[in-house]
This record gives sequence, structure tokens and C-alpha cells, in this order.
Amino acid sequence: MIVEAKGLVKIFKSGGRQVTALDNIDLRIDQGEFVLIKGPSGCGKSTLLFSLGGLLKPTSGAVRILNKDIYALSENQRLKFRSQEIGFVFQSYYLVPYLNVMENFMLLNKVNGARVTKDDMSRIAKRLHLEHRLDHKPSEMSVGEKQRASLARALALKPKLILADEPTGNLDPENAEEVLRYLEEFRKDGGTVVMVTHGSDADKYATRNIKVDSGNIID
Amino acid sequence: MFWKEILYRKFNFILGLIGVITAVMLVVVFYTLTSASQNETRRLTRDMGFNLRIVPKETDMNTFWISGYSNITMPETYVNRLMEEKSIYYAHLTTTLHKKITWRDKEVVLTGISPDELEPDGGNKSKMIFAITPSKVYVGFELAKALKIHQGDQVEVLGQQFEVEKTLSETGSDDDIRIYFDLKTLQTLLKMEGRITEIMALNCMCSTEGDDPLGLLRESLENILPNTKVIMNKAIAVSRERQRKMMDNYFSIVLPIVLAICAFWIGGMAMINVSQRRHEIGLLRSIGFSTTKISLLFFQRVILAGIVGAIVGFALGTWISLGYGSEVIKVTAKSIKPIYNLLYWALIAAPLFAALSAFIPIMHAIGQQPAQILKED
Repeated sequence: MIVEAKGLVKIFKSGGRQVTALDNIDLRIDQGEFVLIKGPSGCGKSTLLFSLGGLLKPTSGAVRILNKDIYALSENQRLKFRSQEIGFVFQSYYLVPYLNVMENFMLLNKVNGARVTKDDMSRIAKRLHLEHRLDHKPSEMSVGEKQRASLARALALKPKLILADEPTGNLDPENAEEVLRYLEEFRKDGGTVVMVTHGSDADKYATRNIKVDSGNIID
Repeated sequence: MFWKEILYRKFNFILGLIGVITAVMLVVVFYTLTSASQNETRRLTRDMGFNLRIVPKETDMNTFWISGYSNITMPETYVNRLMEEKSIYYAHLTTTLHKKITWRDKEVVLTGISPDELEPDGGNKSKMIFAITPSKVYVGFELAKALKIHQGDQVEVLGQQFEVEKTLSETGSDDDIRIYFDLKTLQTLLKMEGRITEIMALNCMCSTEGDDPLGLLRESLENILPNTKVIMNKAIAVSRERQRKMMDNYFSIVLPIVLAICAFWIGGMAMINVSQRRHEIGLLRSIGFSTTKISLLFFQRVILAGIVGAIVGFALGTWISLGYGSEVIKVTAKSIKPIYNLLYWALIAAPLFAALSAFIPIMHAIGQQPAQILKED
């Protein structure tokens, strides 16, 4: 087991009223799984993903990753753990616009304990067909390339888990398929993927589908 | 990363920098001009004479004004009491002894001047009274002209020989009929050892605020030197006081308003910068950057603006003061001098000012949940 969530509740306060985004969720994900989290907009999919990744502290409940209760760790310990064990891929890539691709990768070295070399990154970039874009800025790249660069950054520190929030949402079918194939490769190499998606293009790679509605897992 | 971000968002950086430059420049202009104004007034006051005269209490003022000095003496040690009193500020203190005699069929005033011009501790001011060598004298313009006395001549006064070290230029006052001696020499000559007729003080004032500086000064001196009375050249002192108050008013009203506007401006630019970099903040948090590390990225940017702003603001403020200051505050251009100490202060204060101005926007942005930011799209 790589991820375990128990009694996960997340309540947001908005304009004097409370919105329950996660309502007592229990979840287990084993190593080597490719889990899709699906559901309508605003059902709590992304909230669940960010809570599992240590980016959003739940109101109550616990998340254990690799047997570590991540919200019991101090802020700095959690940052370090997250950077070493979890890779994130977002719909909007979030590459730093004033740095070229290699410099975006090298940002990881500014995190405590992280160490990636240019050779490592060149290898990963080659695998993702980005070797010719390493000295380009994000504004000079296509959306598919940006997403592949974002995926390369997520893979750089050899994480055990990748959390992806609609990574194909902005891509055309061809680029979407390419990104999904890389995620599948990562899974086959022993990694675990948890991906939030609206569409069905990733279904063929999924080992499990989780449906979320109104903050509950319904299937 | 730091430099690349500045280059990438150079317009925002330059606008923030303008805020710092404006703040530093205005402080430098105000300070330089105020200082010039004070120096100018002090110089004018000095050229016109001492603005405070302390004479023995029994002095008959009719005689004083007719003869130009008190015919009663007091102990020379009185000046020490004045020096020890911390509530009274002065720029220069000197002691004198005057005596009218008939010399070569002419009425002349013998004036002994203390060679030690006393200043507050640590004072480093230009001397306003000449120090006379004990065996020499200075002769006033009118006297030298009428008696055909020249520099280097030997003259006999009260049975003692003196060399004329200098004949003075015309002043248009009773100074033109004086013979100046070293104080000790004249005291010995007149057999009045340890006695003086007057203490003169330049820029003498009480540290207390009030509309009647002379009244306050008199009250304070009453306690320190009970056997004396004070005469002040009020016109000079009052105009000097008015000018000082006018500049103080500029400082106390205009400057805080302008500084507040600059602070809002810098804060506004920082707010724009952090809002443009919201996703970057979210990303950096997600890949493991601590909030401290991220806030440093933003603070080093405003601190750089503070350092550059201090240097450019100082240079601009000094240039404006030197170029246009004399037209604004009606002082001679010579009085306006660069105050290099302000640069050191600006290099400390401007980065601090910029960091404080940007503090709230930066801390607000850093404090946001990364998930909140990254979920926005």
C-alpha cells in the first residue's frame, strides 16, 4: 500500500457558510496502480488529490503515504517528504515563465535534500522528446511540450507516486495520448499514478476508477 | 532566478524603484536644503554679530547703549557655569572685557577677547573670533586711518609696547575705534585679572519649545547666572527661529504625506508582482520550497530596489538641491552642499522602507494555500 486516507474531511468556509468538500473519505491505493478519480465539476476530486499529496491539510482525518502520516509531520519535514516521494503534474503546467526548461528542472535543487543533475534531466528530456527544447522558455514551446516538460520535472527526483490534476485537460488527443503513455511507463517501472480527469481517454490505462460526488466516493 | 525575474518583469521593478527613488530623493532634498538654510542663517547671524549678550546685572542700560559696553565687571568663571548647563544650546561662547580710555587724544575702546572660543562638547565649528597673540594688538579701521597706524608698527598702550599684527577693515560700527587685545593681556594691563564685562553667545537658545524664546532664556539664565542680565538681538533670533520653524513644518507635514504615498506605491507594485507570480508561488510550494525561501525571493527583489533607489535617489536629490535649491529657499548656492552621510542612512533606511512597504502583500501571497492557487485553473 502506498496511499491510505482515513476519515478524510475537508470543510471550506466561504462567505460565512461552510462547504464540505470531502466528507469522511476512506481510500487505499497500492503500489503499481493507475487510479483515475472522476466526477462532476466541484465534486471534490482536486481537493481529494491535493489532500493526498500533502498540499491541503484536511479538516480531520489522516493521510498516510509510504506509511508516513504526512500531516503529522512538521511543515519542513512534509515539504522534504513531498519533494522526494511525490511528483505533481497540473493541467496548466506551471513552468516558471522566465526560466528555460533546464532551469525549470534545476529549481528542484533549491529544495532541501534534492539533487538532480543536468545529465539526469537531459536523459529524462530525451525520453520525453524534449531534448531540443532544453534552452527554450515556456513561451517558445507548444502546449504538448510544456506538459511534457512539466511531467519531466515531476519525474526528475524519481518519486514513487505521481499525482496528476487533469494533465490532459488542455491537450489535443495526440498530445494527451503521449502524456498518458509516459504516465503508464512510469507505472510500469514501479510507480503509482493517481489522476483526476473528466474524460475517458485515460480509461484504457486505469487499473481502477474512483467516482466522487459531493465529497463522497460513490463507486 | 532572481535577476531573470527582474529582467522578465522589468517594468514592474522599475515602477517600484521609482517609488523608492522618489522617497529617498525628497528626503535628501528636504534635508540638504534645511541644512543649507540653517547654515545660511547661522552664517548671516554670525556676520551680524553675537545674538546674545550677557552682562552684569547692575549694568545701567542707558550707559551700556551709549558706550556700547557694560562698565561693570563680573567673574570670568561665569562662562563655565553656562557651559555646564545642558538645557541651553549655543554654537559659540566667548568672553570679553571692554574699557574706554583716551589714547593719543582720541577716545578708544580697549577690547580683550578670550582666545578660547568655547563650543559645546564635540563641536567642530568655524571660529568666528580671531585669537590675538599676547604681545600683539589689532587696531580698528577708523583708528588706524586717523593715527596712521600700519601693520607691523609698534604702539604703546598704558605704558606697554605692542606690535600691530593687523589693522582691520571697515565695519561701519564702533568696532572701528577699538584696539583688540588678548583677554589675559588686557586684564593684566587694566589690573582686572579674572574679570570680564560680557559673555557673548551665538545661536543661544533654550531646548524648550515656546513663543517667547527670550523670556524662556532669561528665566533659565536667571537660575544659572543670577547676577547677570541678558540682551538679545531679537530680530535676528526671531527671523532665524521662524525660518527653522518653517522648514520643520515642511518636514512634519509634507514629508510624511509623500513618504506614505511612496510606501503605498511600492506596496502596490509588490502586490502586482505577487499576484502575477501566484502560480509560481503555488508551484514552488508544491515542489518543496518553504515559505521562508519563497518570501526571500520577493524580499531580495524589494531590497535590491531599496539599495539602487538609495543611490539614485541620493544622487538625484543632491543634484536637484545643488541645481535648484537656492531658488526654492532663497539661500546662496554656496550654502548648499552635498551631505554624504545621507547616503549611508539612505542605504540602510531605503531597503528597510521598501521591505516594510511590500511586507503585507508579500506575506499575504505567501500565506495562501498552494492547493487554492493551483486549483484555480
